[in-house]
Amino acid sequence: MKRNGKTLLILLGYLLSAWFILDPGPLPMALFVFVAQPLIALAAVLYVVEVLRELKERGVL
Amino acid sequence: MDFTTAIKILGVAVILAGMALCLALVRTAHLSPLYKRLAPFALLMVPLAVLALGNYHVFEGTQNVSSCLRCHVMLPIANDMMDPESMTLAARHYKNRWIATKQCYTCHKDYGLNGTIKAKMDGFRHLVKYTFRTYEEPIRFVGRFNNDNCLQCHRKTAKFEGIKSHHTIRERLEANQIGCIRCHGFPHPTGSERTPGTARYEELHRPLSGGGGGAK
Amino acid sequence: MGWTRRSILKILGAGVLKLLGVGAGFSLPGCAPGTVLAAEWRKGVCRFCGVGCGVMVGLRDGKVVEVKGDDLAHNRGMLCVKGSLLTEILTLPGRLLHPMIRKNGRLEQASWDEAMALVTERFKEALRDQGPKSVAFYGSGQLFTEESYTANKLFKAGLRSNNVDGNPRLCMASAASGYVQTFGKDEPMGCYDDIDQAACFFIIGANPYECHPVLFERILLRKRKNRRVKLIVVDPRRTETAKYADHFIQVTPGTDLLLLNAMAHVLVEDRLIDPDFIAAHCRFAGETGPTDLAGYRAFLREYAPERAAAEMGIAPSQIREIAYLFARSEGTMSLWTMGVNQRTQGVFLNNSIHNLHLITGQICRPGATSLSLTGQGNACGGVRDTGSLAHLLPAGRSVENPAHREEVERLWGLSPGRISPEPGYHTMELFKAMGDGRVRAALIMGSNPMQTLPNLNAFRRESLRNCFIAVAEPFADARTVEIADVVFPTALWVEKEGVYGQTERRYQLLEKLVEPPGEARSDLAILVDLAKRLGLERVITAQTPEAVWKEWSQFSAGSKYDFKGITYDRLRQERGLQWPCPAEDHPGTKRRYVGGDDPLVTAGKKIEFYGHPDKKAIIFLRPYLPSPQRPSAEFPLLLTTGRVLEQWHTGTITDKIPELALASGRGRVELNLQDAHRHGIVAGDRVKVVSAFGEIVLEAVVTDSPKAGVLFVPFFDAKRLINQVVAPFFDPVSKQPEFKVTAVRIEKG
Repeated sequence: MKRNGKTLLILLGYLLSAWFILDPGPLPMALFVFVAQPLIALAAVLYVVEVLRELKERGVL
Repeated sequence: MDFTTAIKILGVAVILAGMALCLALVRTAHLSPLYKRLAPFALLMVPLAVLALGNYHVFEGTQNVSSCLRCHVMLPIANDMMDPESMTLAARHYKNRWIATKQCYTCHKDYGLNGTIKAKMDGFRHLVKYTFRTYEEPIRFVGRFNNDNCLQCHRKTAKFEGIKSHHTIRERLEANQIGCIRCHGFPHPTGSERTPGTARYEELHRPLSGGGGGAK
Repeated sequence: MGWTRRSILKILGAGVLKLLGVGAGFSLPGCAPGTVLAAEWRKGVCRFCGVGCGVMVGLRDGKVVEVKGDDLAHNRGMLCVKGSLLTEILTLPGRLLHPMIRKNGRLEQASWDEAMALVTERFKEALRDQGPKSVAFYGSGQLFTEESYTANKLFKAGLRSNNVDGNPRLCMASAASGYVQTFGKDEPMGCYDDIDQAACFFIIGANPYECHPVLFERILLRKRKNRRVKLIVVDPRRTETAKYADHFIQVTPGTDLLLLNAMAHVLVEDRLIDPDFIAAHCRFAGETGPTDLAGYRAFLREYAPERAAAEMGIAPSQIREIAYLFARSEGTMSLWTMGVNQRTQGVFLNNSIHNLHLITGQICRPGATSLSLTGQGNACGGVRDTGSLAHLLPAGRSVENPAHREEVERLWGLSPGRISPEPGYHTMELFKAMGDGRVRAALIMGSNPMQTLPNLNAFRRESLRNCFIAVAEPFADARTVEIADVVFPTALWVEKEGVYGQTERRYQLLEKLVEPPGEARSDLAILVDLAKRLGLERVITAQTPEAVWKEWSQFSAGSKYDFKGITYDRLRQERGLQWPCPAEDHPGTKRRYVGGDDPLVTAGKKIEFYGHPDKKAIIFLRPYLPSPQRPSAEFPLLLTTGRVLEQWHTGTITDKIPELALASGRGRVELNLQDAHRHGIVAGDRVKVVSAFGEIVLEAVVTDSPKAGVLFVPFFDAKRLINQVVAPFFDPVSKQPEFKVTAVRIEKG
């Protein structure tokens, strides 16, 4: 996924996180725990994969 | 300003910074030197920091009674706790000011960061059931209550130590095989009192008045 | 350092390790392997005392793995430490697994067929040679109602022997007689809900902190909720209960009838009585016949506090104070157990407690009642209500009453004259009869008389050799097994099904949840088998718990114990139901004799004591007589016995649970500091307690709990049989022994 895709995931995650941090009710909490966290985690994992792939291509790993 | 509020502000600040980083990243060419400098922060470290700050609120920032009350299913329990006529353990502890603040959390500490994995799982289960309204009233505690929530204060007191069977069943208390609340009373209104359709149910679901007194 | 990929990977690695560390820092007990949690929860009732707490039994793979309080039951989820350890009782060591027959002095394993055949043969022999009076049944307030009912019917209707008695004779007979005499019918009129309304608790001869803990917790909650609620405790010992008292009256053992009459004196003289209530609902009965309020006042003159106090060892002002509180509170609730019942004047004491409530009108309203606390879990429902005592027939009837016998014969489909008109042997007489050959064959079920009978030395194996004794018991080491010729292994608690009826007239069902071990059977199965072998299937037609219950509930219809509306189906759904309950849509009766609550009260009446034909309760004039056991030069101290929190009765169950055994310690003698000083005894000394009936060596515990001149020894310890020392005197009406007053001396070393 290109950077736009990853940043989109993260931005969505930020919005849900901000909602929860400002208003820690049950619905925002659920959205943070079950939506924002996976979105951000996915984006982070995709980034790490991208880095590892590039390092492999470059012969570093 | 208390620590929780500071974390809130920090959280929002970090999110704003993170958003700015993302926007900046989108404008750079993929895998350019600038991209490679921005990306670790924009795509990894700042998002993980936001998660950490958010999880802080999940486990620690929601310790106040007002936070527990965000779920309406807690209303009968809070109403009872603040009822000076009630004889539940929660009400007695509240009335006598034996717990100054965070009255719910103090006896349900295992929800916090230092608590058990079971409590975490319970918490997530509660969240899902509440969000999707798949719970049934009266809600019931699943599994065994962690006695450490009681013993953290009562262990080592003269009254506790003075009872012979407290010593002989100590291992079972520490392993939560025998609950403190088994002998020492019902902590909250009983299941039958919180059953929809009963008179007591209606009484317990009245809106909280006066901002909840000393509840913090 | 610059932001190279290598540095990023290092930070990432460190971060992951930190997360793992935090994760490891989480404690894991909640999810630890080996934590067995229940797959299924079923409701039940605690095995132990007369509070009758509801429990939830957690099952997995056919075993009981957890027990917790039932928060939908009257106890709102609370249990005492014994109830909390119910998980352990079905897997305790020492269970009897097979029938045994004694051969050449030793018990040897036998088959059910062999054991039952032998018992049948010996019973038939006794009946043939000496008639129905030569066979007997000794039952228990811990058997299920269906079991007691069946045994009662088998013996009284089938074998025509009224020799049916049980251990409630040792604990509740005085209370039962007291209720019957005063109100016309047995069983309390109040309920546990009265605790939540009472403004004054009068606890006499009871130590509920240790013996009815969940009820005492409820009393304390009431006190905490309302600081004006007063607790009066009357006891020769400063018990754990007494420590919470607002007024502690530490009487000399055996003198408390003086207290009750002295209180009545104050109430009458100081115009603290309710004359309207008395006129409407009561009449007076003296020793020689009916009397009136003036006669009562004259009778009470010799019980002025200034006269009575000295013999009790208290101050007259204490009597006045508590009398005033009793009368003036918004609701006074009396609670008592063995300190009152196990006395030669047990019935008189019971009458006199009721008197105080009747003359003040502190009765039949929320919070105002005289509630006798039952010791065992099913003495009420199982033995008292089914009439399983030597002088009784079911549902409050008497063997000596021809009309009652006729009714029972009709209800049981018996030929007229089938039931013997002569009361059978009560417990003390029964065991004597077993010794001298008047009783030749006896079946003992669910009880441990070789630890609980007073003057125990009189009942050794050798002395009972003329009687063939079959014992049905779960545990091999029960002392009563020592006298058995045949032993039947029985199911325990939820290994069998049946109903328990506790203190507040609440019948609760215990469903069978697990299989008994080995070849153990329910007591009902043994009785049904015995009936068959004795050719009495036409008498014992109901052979399952539910069938017996149906028969018994229908039998009760139309009587003052009517519980026809309490079916097994309802009991499976409800957390018990309180009788009277004459129809299946009736919710049960909280307060008896109260219009609008009790369905047997005539319409329009607010209160009606319908037990007597004139619908009035009787205020008896009961004179105080000192106990036959008084301090003397040879025996200058008074011994009283009782229970402790962690042990249930004779400890056959609870003494095998390490946590309970360790907490209770071993049997010992508690003596007052003054007595210890006089005798040169210090804590830990081995001392001999001697009475005219026996002696025992015990470790001394020096404490301020018993009054000076009083010793206390708990009776749970099977290796320290205090009942060897206890005198055998009993109440002439109830025949209940006086465990609470024995003259003794103490010798050092």
